[in-house]
Amino acid sequence: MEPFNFLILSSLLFSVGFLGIFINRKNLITILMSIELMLLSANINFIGFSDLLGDLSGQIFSLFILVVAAAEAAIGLAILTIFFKKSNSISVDSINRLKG
Amino acid sequence: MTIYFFYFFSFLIISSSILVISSNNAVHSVLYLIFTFFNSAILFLLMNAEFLAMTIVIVYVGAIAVLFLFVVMMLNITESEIKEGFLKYFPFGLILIAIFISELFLVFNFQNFPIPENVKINVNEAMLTESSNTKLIGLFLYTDYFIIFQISGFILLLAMIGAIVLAQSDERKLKSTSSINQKKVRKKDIIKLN
Repeated sequence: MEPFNFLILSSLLFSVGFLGIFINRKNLITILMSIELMLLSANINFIGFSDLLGDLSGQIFSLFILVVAAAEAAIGLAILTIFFKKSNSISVDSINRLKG
Repeated sequence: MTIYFFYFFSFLIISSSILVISSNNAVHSVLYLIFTFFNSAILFLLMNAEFLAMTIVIVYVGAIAVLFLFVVMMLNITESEIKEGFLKYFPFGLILIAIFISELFLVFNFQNFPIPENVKINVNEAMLTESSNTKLIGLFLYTDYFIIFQISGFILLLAMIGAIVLAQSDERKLKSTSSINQKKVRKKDIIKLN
């Protein structure tokens, strides 16, 4: 069981990120941070398997996950700022005005 | 010895990530996020991924966390309104996570985990010719994974253009000259000799 410790770590970290989306209904910034935590757990999984199997592909794919995380953070924060400008709050519950 | 370091830093990662999602002040949770990223960088060093560890520090701490901090400071949210609805959603989320974790641990099946024999890029073989992790990643990133590398560059360009277009305000308040109107100006309309 010892070589698979990173699997336990990454699943726990993913669950913490998942729980963060549920309990922070009033704060969109914390939800974005929870998504970053989930992407980090995917990175840990890739690098752990890269170390376990002796394969470099995991590290290269982890680099691409990093690119996607950076793009997602930039777009998400831009949407957050214009949403705050329009509605003066960052609560998830006030996004339902997007329904037609 | 390495396994104890692994346990220590994983404990730090999990505890600081719990602090990220449960902190009332958004600035504190960004700082805990930075702490989580530093600890995971150390964990990557333990897993023989030196280049990724340094990239995590540069990209996550240097770019993403600073971006978060900037937005948190800019929006100026009051703390009191944040923690409403906690009890409404927490039990449901806990049930979902219990199901998720139990499913994952059923799937993992640690005793007879299938480890494939043939790998795509064997690190131990490649380490005989090249010495450093960074050199190896560069060697395979620009040859075997060239197309994906280009596509990821386009994703970054798209994210940059999208963020600029979204953040631009609708009404232009800048005073600027229109080149078409400038070309339309004739000399007899402007200069009058009495």
